[in-house]
Amino acid sequence: MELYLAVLFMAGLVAMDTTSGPQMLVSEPLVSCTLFGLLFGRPELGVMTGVLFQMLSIGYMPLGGEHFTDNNMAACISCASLLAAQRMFGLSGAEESAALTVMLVYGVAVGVVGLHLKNYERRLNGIRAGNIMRRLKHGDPVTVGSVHRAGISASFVKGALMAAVLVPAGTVLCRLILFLPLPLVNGMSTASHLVWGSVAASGVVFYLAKGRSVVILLGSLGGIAWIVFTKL
Amino acid sequence: MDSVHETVNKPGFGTFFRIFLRSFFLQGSWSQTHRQNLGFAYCMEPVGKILWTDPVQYARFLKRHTDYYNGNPFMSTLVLGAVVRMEETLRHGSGVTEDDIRRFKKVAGPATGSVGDGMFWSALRPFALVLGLLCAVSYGIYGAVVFLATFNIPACILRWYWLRAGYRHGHNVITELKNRRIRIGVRIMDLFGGVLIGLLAVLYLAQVENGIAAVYLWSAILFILSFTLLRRRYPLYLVFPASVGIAVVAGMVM
Repeated sequence: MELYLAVLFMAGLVAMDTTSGPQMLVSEPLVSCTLFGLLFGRPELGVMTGVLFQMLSIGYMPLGGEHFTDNNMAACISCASLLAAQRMFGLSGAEESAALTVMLVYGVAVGVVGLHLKNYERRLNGIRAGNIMRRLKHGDPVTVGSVHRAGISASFVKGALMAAVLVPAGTVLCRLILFLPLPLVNGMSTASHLVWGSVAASGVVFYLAKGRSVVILLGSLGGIAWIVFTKL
Repeated sequence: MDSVHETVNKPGFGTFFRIFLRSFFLQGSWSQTHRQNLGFAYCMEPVGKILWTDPVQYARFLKRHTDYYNGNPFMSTLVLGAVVRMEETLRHGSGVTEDDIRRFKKVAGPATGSVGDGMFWSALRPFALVLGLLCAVSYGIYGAVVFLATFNIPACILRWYWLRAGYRHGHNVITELKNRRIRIGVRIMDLFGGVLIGLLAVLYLAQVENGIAAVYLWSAILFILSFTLLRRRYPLYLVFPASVGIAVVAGMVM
């Protein structure tokens, strides 16, 4: 129960930090998933999930006006679901990797849900701001601070509520892996390594769009040289 | 008597520190219609309470700061500092009007948006992330620490520096946006970020336990496929699940 409450609290913080504040980027998948990993006593699994989600979302910019899929909440909820499932059902090595693959896709769906909730939250903020401006126009006393803090709190509550519903759902999804035929589980397990190709493409495309093809190539060649030298 | 009056109305270190802390929550009530208007007014509140003790004047102060405002959250301290100076000048009746403040906010907000977004979201964040990811692949949880330190230390220092610079220069602070060092810094971060992402893309696979040739081959195929689709602007939420599907099938036949 304490763990569940800690997950809700951290999800609230992630939702808040994404745009409302303090935007110290503790909401980024690399950080939030690492923290979840530590919380559940499986830091290496948290880091691995974080690295995959982070690489996927490296190019997105959390600009106020941007309508972005909520990648931070996606990573946070998927990682928490995976770790909770691992803890509750004791998934073995291949099952755990297969669950990671499932959670990567689940994360994409959570991100789309997060996008719609974010838009709704912003509409509410617009209504609150409109009310304040109307009251100021009529000369009524207003307290900007409390209205603004209500907006920040709404972000926190949104994140906690998303986690309250979507983490148990994700955990159940991971549980279903135990009922799948072994070849499929093994395939999904291997897929958790193969998807790196797709994940890396997302990061590379971002830097390529900035016209950095030569330096990317240099870095890749450096990586290949490193592998060759260390294997020799 | 006059000097006592001026001392009372001057925002001190405490006021600036409160503005600095509040600036972290500038986007707290972000809305499509008014953007960061409430956030800006929230940041300015400590100054308003010092400068405008008369309730009518204070209401006018709030009214001009709940106007539409949109800027980069990190760089907005530059605008906040300058507006504090302008409010102070307005309070002492030394040549700044309410309309001047409104106009300045309207111009300075978008200007910080374009420079600040390019600096923080497009250069510093990805650079810090790639550095953090590289560390995470090799040293686990320390990757998150490296990322947070690389991003937040310069971001916090610059927030404070810009707040003070804004206050020092008033509405002339807009020249700070043309600072050559910002452009050089962005370029360096972009270049190093590019090198590190290339390195990371290759090195991660070297970490795969029992890495076999087929893993590298299929990863390369998925890389090329995803790369091509993403370059053609297919959305990630379609490309990624599709490539996971292919990866599962490939995993089963391997």
